[in-house]
Amino acid sequence: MTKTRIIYHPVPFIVRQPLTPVTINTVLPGHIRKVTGIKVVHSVGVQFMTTAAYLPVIGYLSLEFNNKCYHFGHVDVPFDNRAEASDAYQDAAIDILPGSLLTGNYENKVFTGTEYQKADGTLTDKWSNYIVTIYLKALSDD
Amino acid sequence: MKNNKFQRIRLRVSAAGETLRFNAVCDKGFRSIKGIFVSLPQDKAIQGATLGFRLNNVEVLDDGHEVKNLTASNGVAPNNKFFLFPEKIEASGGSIEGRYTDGSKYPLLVDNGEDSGVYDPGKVDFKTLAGYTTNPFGVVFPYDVIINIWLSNEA
Amino acid sequence: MILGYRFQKVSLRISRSGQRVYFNGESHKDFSLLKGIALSVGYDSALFGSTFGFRVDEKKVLDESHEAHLLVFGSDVAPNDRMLFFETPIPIQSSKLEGIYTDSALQSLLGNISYSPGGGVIASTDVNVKKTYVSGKDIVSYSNAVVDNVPAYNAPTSISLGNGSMAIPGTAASPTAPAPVYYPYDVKITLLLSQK
Repeated sequence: MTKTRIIYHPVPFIVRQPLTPVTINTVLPGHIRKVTGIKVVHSVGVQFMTTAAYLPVIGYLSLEFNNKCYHFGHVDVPFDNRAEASDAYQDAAIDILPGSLLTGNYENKVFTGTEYQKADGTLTDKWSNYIVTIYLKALSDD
Repeated sequence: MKNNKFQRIRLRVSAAGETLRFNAVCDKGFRSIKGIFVSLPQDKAIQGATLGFRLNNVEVLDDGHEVKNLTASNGVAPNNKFFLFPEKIEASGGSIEGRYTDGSKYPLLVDNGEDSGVYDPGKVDFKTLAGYTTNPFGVVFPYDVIINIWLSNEA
Repeated sequence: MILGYRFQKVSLRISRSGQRVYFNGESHKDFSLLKGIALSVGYDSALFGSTFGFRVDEKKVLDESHEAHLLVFGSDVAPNDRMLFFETPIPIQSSKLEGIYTDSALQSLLGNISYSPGGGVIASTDVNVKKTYVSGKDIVSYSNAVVDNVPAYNAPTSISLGNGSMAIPGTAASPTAPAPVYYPYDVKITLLLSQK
């Protein structure tokens, strides 16, 4: 049996326009054997557009593992600018093919009005790029 | 005979950054220390405060242990407010020696010549804090700290 | 005599925006498992966008882009749950422990316009601005600090042109000021060690 250990692997992505979906397409490190938990969090950026400390949904994320063979489903991404964290991850048990792709789509659902992006596509100064990070709790054999 | 007792130790903190040493003896009718809960009257005073203690000369919590992790807000169910020690600690009449340090100089705890980087908590020197703002959270003195120690006879 | 658990701690001081602090040390020799980790930070508002990477015996546990706020637990969490607990505890034996805290690391990526127009995955080479881990067995107990600056995030800018205003693509944002961060502030790292 190969010796495995726990590792947390973040996959951050940037959202640069309110109306354009973001395509996620990245190769997971070859040493990741199994994903045991998933958590998706807003990292930075949205706080420049709102004074709220919490918004239940800023966008939807769909995720697929193993070169699109395993569909994990959709995740609502909240904005939470409060310090209190929880170490809770959504449970998963996905055996990962070495060197396979993590793919998906992210659709922004907030700040989509014309005060953020004008009809001609230009962004206004109210819009801020923001970063969302997908955290994978995984077993690694490196 | 009861199986549980909450033994209280009360301390009065009268100045920012003050360190108080205290001694206590556990009620001898109880075999072990199960947990600890520290209650402070001002939330602001929790930030940066530390509490360590030894029981019969064995370190249970080191002096740099944050009070923050020994307390809980009203959002936590009463039965979960205590910090429960990861193992059973024999108490029966043992003597406690503890040290509480007010944290209102936080986040400027030490100045060992470096203004950044890793610092050695053993080199705390409150005298060289000139130029730094102390008590940034506006803690009001004096205040009382109540340390609740959960003694138990349960297996 | 010692007890079967120990909270091993490291304290860091961050004195400038964008600063990165590295430390290394050795796990206490009497303990064989690392069960959990937690951070505590002087100012809550300092947390957002700051990152904390962590390695044990030169094996990555937390990536350098791991957000610090995911390791900080508030008073609404029961005291015994205020840690990131490793379901599989990490074996240690006087192991080399290394950490890197970077203040406001992610903010510096917000304005980067080199990604595709809609956005996309940020390459880890962009996040891990500079490799700061020290290889080899040069363990120095709690005294080895490397401090340097990464480019600070420039506050969103807008240029006023007559009546209208033109935003600079990619860096535009509303001027809502986030809660201030006061420097210096301290970061405490607590590790839960266990004998079994």
